[in-house]
Amino acid sequence: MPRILVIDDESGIRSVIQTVLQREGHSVRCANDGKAGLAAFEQNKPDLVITDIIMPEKEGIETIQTIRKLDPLIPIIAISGGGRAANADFLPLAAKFGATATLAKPFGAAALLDVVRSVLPASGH
Amino acid sequence: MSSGFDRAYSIGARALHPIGSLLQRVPPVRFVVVVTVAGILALSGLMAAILLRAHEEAIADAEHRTQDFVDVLAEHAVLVFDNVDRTLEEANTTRARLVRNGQWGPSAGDRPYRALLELQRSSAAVTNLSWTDEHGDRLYTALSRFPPPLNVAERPYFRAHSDSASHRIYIGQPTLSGLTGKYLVPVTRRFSLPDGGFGGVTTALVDPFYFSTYYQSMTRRQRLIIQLALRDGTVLAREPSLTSFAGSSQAELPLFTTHLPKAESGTYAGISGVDGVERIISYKAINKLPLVISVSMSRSAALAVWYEDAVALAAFYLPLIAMLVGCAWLLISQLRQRARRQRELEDAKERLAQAQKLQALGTLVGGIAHEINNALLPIMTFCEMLQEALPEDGFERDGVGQIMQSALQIERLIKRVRTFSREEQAAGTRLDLAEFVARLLKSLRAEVPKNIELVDQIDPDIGSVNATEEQLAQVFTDLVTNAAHAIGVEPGRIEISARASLDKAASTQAGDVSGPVDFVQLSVKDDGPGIPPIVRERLFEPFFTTKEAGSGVGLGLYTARRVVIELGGYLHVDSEPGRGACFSIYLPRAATHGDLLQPA
Repeated sequence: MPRILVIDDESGIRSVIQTVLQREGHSVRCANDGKAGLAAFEQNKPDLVITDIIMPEKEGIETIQTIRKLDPLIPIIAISGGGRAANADFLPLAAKFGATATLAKPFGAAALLDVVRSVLPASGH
Repeated sequence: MSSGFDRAYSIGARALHPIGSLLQRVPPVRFVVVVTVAGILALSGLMAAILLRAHEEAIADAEHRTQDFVDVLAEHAVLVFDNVDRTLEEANTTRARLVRNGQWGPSAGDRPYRALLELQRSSAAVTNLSWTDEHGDRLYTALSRFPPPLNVAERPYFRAHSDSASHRIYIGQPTLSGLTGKYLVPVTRRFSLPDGGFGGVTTALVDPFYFSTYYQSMTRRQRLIIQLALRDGTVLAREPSLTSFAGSSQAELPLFTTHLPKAESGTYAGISGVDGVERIISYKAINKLPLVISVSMSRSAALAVWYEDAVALAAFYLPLIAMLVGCAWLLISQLRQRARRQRELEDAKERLAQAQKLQALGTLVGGIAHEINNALLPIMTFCEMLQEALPEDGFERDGVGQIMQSALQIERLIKRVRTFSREEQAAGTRLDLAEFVARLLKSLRAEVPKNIELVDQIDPDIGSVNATEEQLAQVFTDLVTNAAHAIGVEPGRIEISARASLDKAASTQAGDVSGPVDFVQLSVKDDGPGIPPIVRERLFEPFFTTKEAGSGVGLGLYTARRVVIELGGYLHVDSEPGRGACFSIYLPRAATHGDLLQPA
């Protein structure tokens, strides 16, 4: 059963993603920011990380960079609803700094599950 | 200079209280033009008045001088002819005595001749004396003991004396002497017999050169023309050009046709009938003699000093005017420059205000979009899950489907709003990065310590970003300041680079709508000691600092990253101990017009 770590500062988002993935049979752990996410990652390394970009304490891109240094192969999905600026689109930057795939909010359950399925087998985890 | 002008302008306006408010309403450039033109006109008017006055005075002075000369020369002529007249009287007295004493005629020998000679020599003006009998035959002449026969009965002076018992002298027209070949002026007296009858004429010949020589001392210095003439216009003596004029008639000239008939003396201006030159002419008819003395001065000679003064004044006036115009031109160009800078400043303020409004709008839109997207996620996700769980032909599934459609509609609306806001922001806050970095480097070079070399590598085609100069300048300055602090007092180097990032990062995963985006990469790299991992972990935390207390509160990098994120970018650090540090700012490249036409 793949273990998925979900990092997002919005509790509602965490809850939705957790529900969708658990229905699919995944084991899901949640963290509410990059710092907590890294702590959870080091404590119990998951098979997949889904992380938001704009978060307090530690930004998602920095979290991705740190995780990538700890594990160059682990799949990372970056999700984002865009920044406060109208032209803020961080998903391409997230990809540049190590995200395996990106997903723009809002997304449906099907889109989420498609992306998860596409990265999990390719990682070999 | 402009602040000094402002002060002077304000003081002048206050001082001239009654028209102070009017002055303050007048545009400065127009004021300067009006004042300059008024100054030039006033100065020119003053110059003209001075020159006109000086001109009038020069002419008046010339008139007075010619009048003074005329008076002096008239007296001279009277003295000369008085002397000649006394010589003639003496000659008559001597003849009468010689006759009484029987020392006359062929038996008298040369006694009469010697007496005439003695009398002639006693007068400087007389070149010859002679006696005639009542028939006009010349009896004796001082020029020769044995003169050739000569009869003067037909000459006007002989007839004047023979026809009249008057004992006044007669001044005749100059005649050409057969002996000397020169023009001589005959001055005659009647010789009366003891019974009062006409006994002949005593003639004294006067050489006009006697007068001309006297006149020369004046004409040369004063550039005058002096003329002694009979009242009928016959020239007796003239200087200069006596030879050409002696004996000639000037009866047609205005002096004799117009002025002399009206007044015995006077001054007038006119064109000379002799040489066509404009002259000032003073004249005087000599009392008791049929003579007129005239002195003329050319107008150009009268105004010679005035011309010199006018040139000197012009040499002062023209540079003054040029200086006035030059100063006014400089002042006007300064005022125009100031006005232009003022307009540019106001335009820039307006653009900045507009950019700030757009940015605020963009932030508002972005913030709302972000929150709405987050809120839509559970709606859309659970709608999908519910639709799968509900029976296909049930109204509940349809209802959930409609909820999903509404959520999608909201998502599309949010995208359109963000696209519109992105276009507006792109139009208002485009910052050319190559120009911005070049400008920033100029000020940074002055602030970086001398032990640090500041180099740059700027890609001229880097493009633009949607940001204001103030936002990026602060971020850059903080990064360079941190780099300089890291290097310390040792020799070091900071490299600033700006290039287009070729990573058009894109995801092809299902559901991803980010699309390819151009980025620019701005880096500040130093060769300092580098950042230990434990410090790098906390570098962007608020209030985290490695500096001494009092040297900073630890908000620089935190704020820098927040600013960059607000601009849709990311601030990244790459550093290892001993290998310096490289801070990179990634920003989305501003869309060109063509990009904006693409679907979002």
